[in-house]
Amino acid sequence: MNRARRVTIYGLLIAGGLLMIFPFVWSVLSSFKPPAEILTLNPQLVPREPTLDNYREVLASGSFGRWYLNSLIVAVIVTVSVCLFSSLAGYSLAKYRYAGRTVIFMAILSTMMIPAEMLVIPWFITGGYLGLSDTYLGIMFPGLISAFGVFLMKQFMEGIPDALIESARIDGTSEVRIFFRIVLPLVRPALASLAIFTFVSNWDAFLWPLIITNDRALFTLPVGLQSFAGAHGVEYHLVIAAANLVVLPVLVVFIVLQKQIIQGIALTGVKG
Amino acid sequence: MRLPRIAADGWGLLFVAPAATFFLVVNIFPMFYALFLSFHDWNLLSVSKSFVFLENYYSLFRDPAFLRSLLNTFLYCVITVPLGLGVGLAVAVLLNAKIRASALFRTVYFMPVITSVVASGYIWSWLYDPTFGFINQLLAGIGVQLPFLESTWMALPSIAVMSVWKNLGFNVVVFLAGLQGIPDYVYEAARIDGTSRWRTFWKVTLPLLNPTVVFLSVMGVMHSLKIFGEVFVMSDDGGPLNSTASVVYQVVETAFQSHRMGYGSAMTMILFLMIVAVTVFQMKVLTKKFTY
Repeated sequence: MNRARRVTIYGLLIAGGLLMIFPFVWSVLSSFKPPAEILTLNPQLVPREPTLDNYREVLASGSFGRWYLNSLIVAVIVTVSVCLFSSLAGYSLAKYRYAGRTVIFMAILSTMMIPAEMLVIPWFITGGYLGLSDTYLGIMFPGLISAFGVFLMKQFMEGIPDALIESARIDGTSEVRIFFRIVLPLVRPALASLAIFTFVSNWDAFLWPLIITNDRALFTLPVGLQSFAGAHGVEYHLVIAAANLVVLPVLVVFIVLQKQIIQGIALTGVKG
Repeated sequence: MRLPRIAADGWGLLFVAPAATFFLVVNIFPMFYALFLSFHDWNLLSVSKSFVFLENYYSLFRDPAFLRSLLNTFLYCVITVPLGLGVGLAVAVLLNAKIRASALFRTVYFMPVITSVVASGYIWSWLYDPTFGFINQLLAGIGVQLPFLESTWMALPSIAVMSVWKNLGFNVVVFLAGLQGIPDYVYEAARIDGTSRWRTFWKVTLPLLNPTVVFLSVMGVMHSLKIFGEVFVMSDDGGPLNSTASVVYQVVETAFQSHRMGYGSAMTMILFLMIVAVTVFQMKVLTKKFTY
């Protein structure tokens, strides 16, 4: 590669990269500024009088601690449930023969076409009858098993040699034990991708938690942020600090696990 | 040796039972319930639920707010899909050029994808603020000031641009995987034939990426059809003057603020039909035989 071409490529990538992270950098730097440095016509990149007051005020007036906890509870339980039940179903569909197997698989696959946006009204009405409004179960139930997860795990389970499973059977290993001790460890990379993907999408989920919760104590982080920002309008110093509290933990997790996340996405993209 | 599998097949049914039951109860039944509701005039706050058959649908197509939301959703598609694909492919091609630190760049481009749409929506609303937003503060240097989210003609494109920024990393990563799947000998052959780089890209790379392009277009169209969070957070009640309200925004407004469950369900059925159409199109195109 000649020098001019190399410089052009790096130049374009760096310029694009700066554009991509600029909103985060600008909001993190500004979150340490007093309001007067934000509501100005001549802003400086770096705060002149750095302060933690914005974060103090956000943490004091919102219920961010509670909302973190809610988001964590919801995302963890949903992730565990999705991983367990999707891989159980995927294993069954890949490795057992029984009447109706293809029909069940096609039915599950076709539910991927049904948009959650269409189901929120029935879910809301039925959930209301069942007393699920403002409960963790109410927030979680639509996501407890994922059709995409079933599809993904089935694809990977099919790669496991039958001989491995059958020899375990000859040894008298129980079916449940075969699943947990032999099958699951073999699909660990796919399972990890599914887990990360499920966790992040539940952490960021907005539409359904917004609809099913009314009680501030049950808000997840995005819904809480929306209600906080709605109450504070153009008090940007508070809104930005609050937004950062939502963004930063996910960014940190992402930077630690980025290799797995990106491989997972590429995997699903190629497979899809 | 074939072992008696019959004994184990009961376990197979047992393993698939939770998922099968779940999708039946949580997806398939509610889908029919939505269809049922769409034939009814039902305000959640009143007791009466009357069967009106297709009347909700007739009203929908004479409802300026709904028609506007269809148009808006179409505009989100038209802006975000080509922009997201074009820029995404350009970045992926640059990243694929055997450069150092490509993992770092990939991470940077991907960051917005995993952040909450609510949080990034508020950050962008602030960047777009006509007085104290960074973009206008920057533009003040050349004496230009733009209204962004406060004008009927600029609000929708402004939200669309934010949406492109948010989802670009997904396209980059999938394109990159597609590019890396093209065997080296193809480029080698083009090079030996003396084909220029530009021509190689258009005549070799792009046709080979066809399945990826179709996949990402479909994902992009689906995302625009369902766009909600960006609009809810960044617009002032779908405004100014309904200029940014998407179909899903109208659904939420109708069903959960006006409590009109039947009418809202009819809107979601239209959305569903559009999604089915896109999916069928995708299956038709992607199942076509494709050879290198």
